[in-house]
Amino acid sequence: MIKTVSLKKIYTTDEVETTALNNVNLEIREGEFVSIMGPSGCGKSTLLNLLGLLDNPSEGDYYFMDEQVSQYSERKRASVRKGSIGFVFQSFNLIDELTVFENVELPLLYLGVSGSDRKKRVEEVLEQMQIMARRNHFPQQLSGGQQQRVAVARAVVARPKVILADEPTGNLDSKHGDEVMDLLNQLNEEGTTIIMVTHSPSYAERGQRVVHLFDGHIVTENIKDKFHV
Amino acid sequence: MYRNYLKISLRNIVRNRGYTFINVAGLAVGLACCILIMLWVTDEISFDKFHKNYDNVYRVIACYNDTEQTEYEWKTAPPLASALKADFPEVTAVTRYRPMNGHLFKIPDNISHELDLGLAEPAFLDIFTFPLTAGDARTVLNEPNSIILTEKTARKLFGVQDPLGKSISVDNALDLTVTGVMADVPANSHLQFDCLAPFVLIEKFMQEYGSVLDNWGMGGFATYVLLDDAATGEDMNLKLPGYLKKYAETETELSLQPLKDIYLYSSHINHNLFGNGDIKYVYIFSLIALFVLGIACFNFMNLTTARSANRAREVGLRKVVGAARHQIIVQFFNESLLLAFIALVFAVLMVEIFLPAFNNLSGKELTITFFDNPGMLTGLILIVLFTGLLSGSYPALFMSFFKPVKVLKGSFKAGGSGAMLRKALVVTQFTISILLIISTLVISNQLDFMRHKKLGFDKEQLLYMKMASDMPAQYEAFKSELLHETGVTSVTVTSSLPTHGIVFSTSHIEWPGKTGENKWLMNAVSVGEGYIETFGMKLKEGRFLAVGTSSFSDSIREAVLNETAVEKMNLDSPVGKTIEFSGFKVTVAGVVKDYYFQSLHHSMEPLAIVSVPEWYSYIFVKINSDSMPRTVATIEQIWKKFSPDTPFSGRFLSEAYESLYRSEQRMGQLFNYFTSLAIFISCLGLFGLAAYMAEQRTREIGIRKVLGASLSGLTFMISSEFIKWVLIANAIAWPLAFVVMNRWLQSFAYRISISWTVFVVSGALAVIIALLTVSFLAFKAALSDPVKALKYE
Repeated sequence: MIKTVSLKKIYTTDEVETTALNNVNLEIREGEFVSIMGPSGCGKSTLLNLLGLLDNPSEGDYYFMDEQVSQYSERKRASVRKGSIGFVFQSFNLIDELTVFENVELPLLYLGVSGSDRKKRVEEVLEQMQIMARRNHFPQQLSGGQQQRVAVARAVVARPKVILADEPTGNLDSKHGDEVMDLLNQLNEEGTTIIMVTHSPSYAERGQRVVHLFDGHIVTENIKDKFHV
Repeated sequence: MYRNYLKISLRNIVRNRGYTFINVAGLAVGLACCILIMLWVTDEISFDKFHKNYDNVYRVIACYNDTEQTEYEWKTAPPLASALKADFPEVTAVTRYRPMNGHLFKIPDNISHELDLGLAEPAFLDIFTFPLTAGDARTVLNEPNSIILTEKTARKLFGVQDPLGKSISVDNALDLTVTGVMADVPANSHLQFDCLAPFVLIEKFMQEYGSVLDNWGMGGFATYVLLDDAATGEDMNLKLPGYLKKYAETETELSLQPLKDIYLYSSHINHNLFGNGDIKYVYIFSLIALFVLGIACFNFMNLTTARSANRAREVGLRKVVGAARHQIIVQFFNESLLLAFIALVFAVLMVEIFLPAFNNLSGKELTITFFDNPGMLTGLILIVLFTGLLSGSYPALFMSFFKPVKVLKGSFKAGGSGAMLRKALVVTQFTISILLIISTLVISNQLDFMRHKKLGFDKEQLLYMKMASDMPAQYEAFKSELLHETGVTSVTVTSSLPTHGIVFSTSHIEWPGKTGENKWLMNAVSVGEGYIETFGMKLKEGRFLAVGTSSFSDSIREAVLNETAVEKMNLDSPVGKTIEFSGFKVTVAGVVKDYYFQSLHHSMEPLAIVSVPEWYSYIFVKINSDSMPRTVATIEQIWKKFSPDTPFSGRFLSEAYESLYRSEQRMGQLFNYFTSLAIFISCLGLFGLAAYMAEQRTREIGIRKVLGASLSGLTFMISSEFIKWVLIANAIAWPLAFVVMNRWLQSFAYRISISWTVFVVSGALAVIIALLTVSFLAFKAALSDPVKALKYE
């Protein structure tokens, strides 16, 4: 469902040109759980942003659900993104002014889902994440683990095909980190494709495949026997 | 979706109370100014609109082509009205009108009231819409001794009694019978009167002139015409050149002024007896309203974009979960409209609170009604939409551009173009503020100048009172009794107040050595014995008038001219020469040094001082400075002895001068207040921006402190940034203010030249205000603990 061909991303500031990604070829099939690892600055987040259609590559092709999307305009990318891709960030990125319920509801609002359906679906996913009791709290009243569970809830509420997680456990202690990883595994088992950037080798092992990036290149891909088509 | 926008807006408003306060306070004050000015402007442009024939009524204006400039007068000859009606089929009705202000009205066994009388013809009530509440409009003005009272006047004179058929004596000389009562004259009418009487009575008021009504040589009467629907004033104006030649030997030309122009477009017309607005002030205040509101909107833009980094994450996130750019724009417009609406609520409250004070200041009786006034309501809604959209425009466009990739990383800093625009906005705000400060100073300097200008006579300690109708016969006795008082230095009598011009003017003058046609007007005042002493003018040559002749034609035998008159006639050694003045042969007795006999809006004009007892209207008493209040009380007692029926109306001439420039003073004061508010709003914005910048620079300040920067150095560093902007604003505002104020000054015959100190003072004031606003915050930021600042990052 995801395929990149010779993907390249160059960042240009006033005088410096930085190549963040170079010649990245990657194919991810539906239902896969892929971990991306590598040292700081190797291009992990850049890759994730490209895969998540938050940014366009400088060169190369990107097929998302068999559609060549690499040169889409912001408007078109937004419409592809909406409903198909869910994001989970290291720093949760919840909106402080909205309650748990309202944060999770947001993607459905932009999808134009009706009020009663929204309520049903948000409650469903809050139950699933076990934070129903906190539905009327504001993000700052929650622990880090709870906040990340809200963020995961928000990522899945629109039932996306893919979830992109950028170091989802980076700001959490091991107990809460484990909880979030359990959630991702559970979602993957239910059929959602998951692409996760992480620094932690043990969490990376939870995926079926680990992609190692170094200086913008893919250096190794460990395909584990766990993966069955 | 909108509920979500509303929710997040409200929560942001509550969370950032400080910024919300600055935004809402600025917008509310700006809106309140705007509403007040809108009320004022609406009232100014509403004048005379209540007349059903608003579009078809015109006033006849006479133009004298003076050698230097064309003079315009509303005063026309009495026979003009009927001539126009006879000669022009499109003229369907005409009326003459003459305001006769300050006459004494008395009903038996009651005290006198000083009232303003209007003399008009029956057609006046057809042409204008002044509905009667009692009496028949077709006949009320037919009988020569009839009078119509406004309801207010009727109550004043008769209380609850029915006034119809009752008799009123005017100046103890004329008995009139009430034939009708009319609704009070609306405040927004250029014609203002307490009662109306038939125009033919003018002959009783001006007995000394003989037959007035069919005399083409007379002036002093307003002529109003009603045209039929098919005709326009412009068409008729094409037919008017040379028209008067048919009836009189004159170069005077006529034109029609539409009723809708009379109130606002008459500042060029001389000797205006009617209350007057000025379109210039309508424009100036509308502009100020726009300025003040603009400044408030700029504050909003500034603070919102400055704080955009705080909202950036939200914008990024909304985009990640699927928001399109236009949805973000709509969201921020929603927010600015919401704030504008909240500000409106406070603005309306402020207007309610300050309206009485504003009325007091502007001399109007404005009221604010929203729900029975659709125009007002629409106006307010439009203003709020304008404010909300203008102030939300930049933030909405700016923030909707945020790239989620950048803002979600947390490395995002609002800066670049946003910072540039913020600087431009602050510079604009201060440019406007400095412009307003300079204008305020120039206006107050000009008013001061007029108040203290040497008039050529001494206006201090001069008490004047209007002659009562029983006074002329007793004047000599009254005068000699006054002169017995130790506090009284001298007493005289005149036809007119130096604040209100002259009694008579004519272009009909002959003099020895005259070549060609003179195009200028000779003005005349009539004075009695003691004039020169009482007013303290200087005789240049010759002697003053021999006063005390008995009959009207006898009395115009001598005249004293002013220097300007001598200059105009180009007379060498004028004393003893004979000139002809409106048909009278007059010997020049002396020449007086120029003095200002009318307001300083007029330049010095030629003047002949004559002595016509029939024209005497005011008694002037020069009082010794030691015992003024006691002397005034004594004068009042003596007055009561002579004229027990007439209330004593003694007033100091210096006060009359104060009220002469009241309209300018009012404008000046209003200007003052609006300027202060504009500066206040600018400072609010500056304060908010400084607070934000101090917060942004915490880390920089921390590093500088660690490296050894001093407190004063840091305070200076932060403040100087803002001062730089204010200095740039000065550079823009100065030339602008110079041009604008020079144009304003053109309307005064005597004016100051704008001094450079005004600019320096205004600039310095702006810098000081800005410095006071930001230095506190700069100091606070400089004081902060560097360890905390660096850890925080």
